[in-house]
Amino acid sequence: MAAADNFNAPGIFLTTRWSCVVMAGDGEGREARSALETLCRDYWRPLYYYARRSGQSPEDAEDLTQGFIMGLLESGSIARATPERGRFRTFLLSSFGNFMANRHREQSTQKRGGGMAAFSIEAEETETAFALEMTDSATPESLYERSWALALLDSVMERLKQEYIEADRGELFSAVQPYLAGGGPRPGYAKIAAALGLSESALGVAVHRMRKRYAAMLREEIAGTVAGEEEVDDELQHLMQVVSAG
Amino acid sequence: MPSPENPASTTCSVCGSPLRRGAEGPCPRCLLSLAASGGVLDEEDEESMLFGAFQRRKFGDYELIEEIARGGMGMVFRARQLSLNREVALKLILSGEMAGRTAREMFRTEAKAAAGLHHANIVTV
Repeated sequence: MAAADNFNAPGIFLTTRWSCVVMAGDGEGREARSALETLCRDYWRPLYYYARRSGQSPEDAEDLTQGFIMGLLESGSIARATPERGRFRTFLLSSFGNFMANRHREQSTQKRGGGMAAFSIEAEETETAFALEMTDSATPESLYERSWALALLDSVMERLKQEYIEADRGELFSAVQPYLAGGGPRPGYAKIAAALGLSESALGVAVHRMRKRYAAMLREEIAGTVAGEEEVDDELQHLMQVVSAG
Repeated sequence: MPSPENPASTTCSVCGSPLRRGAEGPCPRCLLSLAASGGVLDEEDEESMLFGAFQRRKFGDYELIEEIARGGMGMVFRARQLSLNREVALKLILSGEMAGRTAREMFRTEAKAAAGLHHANIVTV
């Protein structure tokens, strides 16, 4: 089995981005709050970058991003956010574009206080990261898409890491992660295997299993943001172009 | 998110392209490629890797001769028990040293169950 036998247990990854949003739009219970937090944690940064590159100040970009996410989840617009409407990535961006065009800053600020706790944006760190991502040719859309791809990858990598830590294999994760996407057996294998108290073949198996697990998690994450499983490969190709362009 | 304070000094561990500041390991493109391939790279095959590793060495009192069958959980080899100089069937759990506790328990349970069976057409455990 993989690093832990329960990795493939059903029920772990049932919450897709779409179901997360629909759930949040259904009410204000604990599950909705949890869905909101998940959504905010993973996807506020692409929206913030979009707002910044569109000419908003850091303060306004922060207000817009927070106001949008809170308003989106609290208003009835979420009910219209169904998988049949296409890709979550484009749905979120077009909704945000509309929100910016029609923004009512005071209203959205009031909304933030209305029942759900606002999420915090680490302004200074975000601005530094934004400056690093910025290039002369970057458009608001290209920054959004690139940041989206990176947020997705970071989110999946963090979940994979947590799985290994929970299975008491955090050390294995740290040692194997550099080999996750390939590169072939290296002289370093023997050293790593020795440090972990494993044979080289066992380490090879561990690398192999981590790759399969990561791929499955990433595909599942993407499946949760598109209309159907058949779109996962298309979305992967699109995201590859997006990160290559950066 | 990686910390943006770290200076850019790392490259992708696979393709060598520059990484985001503070990032390490494979680059985003290589990670997406991995997902596109379903996590299986051309350079490897787990079973071959396992068999290759075992083929070159004795396994305790047993010397592996050839693969007989493989399943979701393990592989069965024709092997020779050296101390008794007899041919045996040896089942190895696929993930071996990396097997989790549940997998090892299942393997033991299976062995115990099989040990209780005695029939001319069933290999004695």
